[in-house]
Amino acid sequence: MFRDTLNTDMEAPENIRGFADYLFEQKDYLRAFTEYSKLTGFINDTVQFRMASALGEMGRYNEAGNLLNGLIGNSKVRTLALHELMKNRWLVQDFRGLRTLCDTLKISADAADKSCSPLYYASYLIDSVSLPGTGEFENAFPPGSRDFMKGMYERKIKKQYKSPLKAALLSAIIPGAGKIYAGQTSDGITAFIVSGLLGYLALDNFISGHDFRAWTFTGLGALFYAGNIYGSAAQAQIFNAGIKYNFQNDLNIFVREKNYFKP
Amino acid sequence: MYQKITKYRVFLFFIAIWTSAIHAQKYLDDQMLKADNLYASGSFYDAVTEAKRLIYFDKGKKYFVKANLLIAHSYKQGARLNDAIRHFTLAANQLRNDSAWFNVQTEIIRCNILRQTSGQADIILSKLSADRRFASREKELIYWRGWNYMFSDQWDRAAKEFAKNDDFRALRVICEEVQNEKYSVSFAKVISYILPGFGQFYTGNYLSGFMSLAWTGLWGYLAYNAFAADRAFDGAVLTGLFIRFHRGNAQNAEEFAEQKNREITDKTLNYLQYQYEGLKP
Repeated sequence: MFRDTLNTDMEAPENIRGFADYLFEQKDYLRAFTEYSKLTGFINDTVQFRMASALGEMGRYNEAGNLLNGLIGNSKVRTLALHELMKNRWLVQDFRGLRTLCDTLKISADAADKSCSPLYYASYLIDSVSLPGTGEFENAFPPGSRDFMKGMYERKIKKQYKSPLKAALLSAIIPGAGKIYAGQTSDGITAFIVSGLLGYLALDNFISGHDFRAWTFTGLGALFYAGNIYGSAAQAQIFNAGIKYNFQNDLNIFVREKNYFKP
Repeated sequence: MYQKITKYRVFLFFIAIWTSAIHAQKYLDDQMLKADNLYASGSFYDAVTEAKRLIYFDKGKKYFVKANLLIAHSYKQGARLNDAIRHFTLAANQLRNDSAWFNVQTEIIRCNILRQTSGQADIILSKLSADRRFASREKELIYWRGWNYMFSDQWDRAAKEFAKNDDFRALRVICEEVQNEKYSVSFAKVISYILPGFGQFYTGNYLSGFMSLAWTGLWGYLAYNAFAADRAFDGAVLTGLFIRFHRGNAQNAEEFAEQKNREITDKTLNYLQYQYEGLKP
């Protein structure tokens, strides 16, 4: 009570700071940022870092980056700021930028700065550049993570993607083959049977002289054949999107669980 | 003489402490008033900020309940129902007065109704009904249980609930009207299986019904003709087409019935939101 009676100015810098920290701990990042912003003239490195973290949590990565860039010089939160910057670059998928930042850290004498290696090498798995060698890649991770990351490396190399062009061509030659290639076996068999059936009916009716029916089945068959080709290419694209999504999801979950965003 | 001066100093010291205490109390009172005024003026975001500021500085938790209730109401106004429920719960946990606690529980029920977590609302309603302390407030529980049923599209159960009290006659009538207006989805589907197109006629979609009748009739007629002319293979294929169109017709009738029902319930909920004058979630 005595402490409260003496310090009732809510707008005093120390009180604003205390309230802002309280909001930050409650994950009310927008309000925390607004309160920190009121500390004009009293914003130290720690406050600036918290402001950047709050912006990052809200998805405002560019603004966060501007604040963090001011902390990677000679500040007591330099390592934290660099890791936060790398996290933001990961989240906006600027992997080249992430690796450049990590290279900056690696030449530092501070051992804590070198802890960005796992994130550095993990970024190769999502980026579209060539992968480093297996040995170099695995050694970047602590022993407990190596098996998993080795598995992810192999998944990346094996390239289980399907070619939409190949799927379309296969279905053009043998209706349904493209769908089977893209992982939809039952759809492929159905497409094969129906296309074949319609083709047979068309031919049979032409031979029997039933022209109207023959042309009807020819038209239906042609539509179905075209749809089968298009559907096969689309299915291959869907398949690839699923592979990519699951891969990135598995990696993101792993990176967060292992706290690779923190030094 | 020395004793007199000492007593005088002690007296002044206590006066200073007492004055400071009054001032400390006043600044918390002022902060609560500020938050209340912001809420009253519709500045819900700022109201939450100032109420949270109050909670932070109020070490004695004098305004803990009131501030959390204000935050909860502000979040509710902003449709942030999860946050609203969290703060209502924080307030409820500190309440010792049964009546006040019950009032907060009904606020939580209302938030659950709005976010359509009717199961959760039902659990709280059941607990309150079973609690003998609140036997005299059963009427309120009937009211909110009825609303819960309405929001979970159980209009017949809502009508039965409102029927338990004459004061809710208007809502009972509304629920009964909705229930009578709604189409039977299963009837639409079954009648379409028996008479293709009639499910669509039942729901007022005459063109679609006619098309379903025509297509199904065409394939059925061609299949019959094919079998009659000993063209068994053609007949089999045309029968397949008949079956596909027949099934599609039934699915179509079912979808139309569901769509019509959605329109009816949306219209009623719209009326309740903008024209019903009683208490709403």
